[in-house]
Amino acid sequence: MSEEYWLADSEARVLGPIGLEVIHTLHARGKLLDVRAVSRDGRKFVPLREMPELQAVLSAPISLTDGQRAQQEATRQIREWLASIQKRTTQEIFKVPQLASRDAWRAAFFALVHRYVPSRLPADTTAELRLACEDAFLALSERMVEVERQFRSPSTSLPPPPPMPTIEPATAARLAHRNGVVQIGLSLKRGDARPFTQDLEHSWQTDCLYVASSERLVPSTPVEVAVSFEGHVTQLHASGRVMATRVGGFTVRLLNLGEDQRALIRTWVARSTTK
Amino acid sequence: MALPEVLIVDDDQLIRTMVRDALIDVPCEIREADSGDSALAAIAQRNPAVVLLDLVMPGKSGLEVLKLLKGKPTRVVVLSALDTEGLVQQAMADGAHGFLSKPIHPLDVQSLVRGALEAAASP
Repeated sequence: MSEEYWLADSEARVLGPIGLEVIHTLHARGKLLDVRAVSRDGRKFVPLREMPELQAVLSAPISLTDGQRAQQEATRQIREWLASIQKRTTQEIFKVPQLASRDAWRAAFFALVHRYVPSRLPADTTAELRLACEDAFLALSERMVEVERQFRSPSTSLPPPPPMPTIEPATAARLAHRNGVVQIGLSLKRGDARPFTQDLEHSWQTDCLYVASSERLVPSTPVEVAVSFEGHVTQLHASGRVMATRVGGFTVRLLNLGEDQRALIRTWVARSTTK
Repeated sequence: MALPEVLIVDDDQLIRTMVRDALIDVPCEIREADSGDSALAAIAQRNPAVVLLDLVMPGKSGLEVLKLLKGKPTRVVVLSALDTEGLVQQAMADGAHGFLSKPIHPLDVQSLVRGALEAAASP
């Protein structure tokens, strides 16, 4: 009978007993990237280097290539899937029944989005795969926001399949990179409060600002924002950080806003939404 | 009549919650365990009809738990992202009723658990 092994990762999670052939296949598929200790009996674990036959399998150059190939393949599949869902309804994508409850929608959403959550990707995920996952995460999140909107609407007792997300022409933002800080300039026309209201989860009420841009900024990127308001002499100047990437832009959290600045925003939003 | 029990075994709280949510329409009583050892204790105590079992966990691994349950009436559905052919074959040879690849889909979970519950009810 061939030898069997137990593998433990950095969080002391154990897989085993499995044979060398299975280990080789898993490694080639990029699924054993964090093996820290190994065992022949499931009880006494030793560092990987003390079992040369396993170390050879888990560090073989071909495995690294295969791992990268696996990520390329995963990237390709995600991109294909993203293209395929463009014309599908949210109900088709989430595979929920016509009369599904909000909880069922949410369960379906979490089941789908789980694998794409950027913060849960392994550290050695390739940039291409990371971007594909981020795009999938954003696409699903956008659909789910639409679903939640449908349920919030008092006139809608049963949620029809939400429409495709549409990106309205947004207020143009000017971006410039200087010394690691992204400077953002916004000129708002009278009646346009979308940067303060477009992101429903993070609006002006939580000192947030949505910036429409094709540029992809990493969360936590420091920013300096200058907003001019048509018909107003006063401009808004604030520093902040990118807090979330959205489809067609990103959301910035403005830091250390003064009460006078908040009042300026509040007044602008109120005038824009009551005209 | 008491509802059959389903035990969700995974060290990831999010997965346990997702599976629990997926089974909301399945008539069963759901319990959770976050390791192989706590799963074995729960199985010894409650004798669940179905166990949904992760393979990679702290302490006893899912494959070890599966081997210990072989021949018992409890039906085991494996949940794992390690869905290579060799490992799926090994799990099935060790007595798994089914194998579900992560990321899981609620309808797949429901379908497999319903089938496992039916199998457990008519051995």
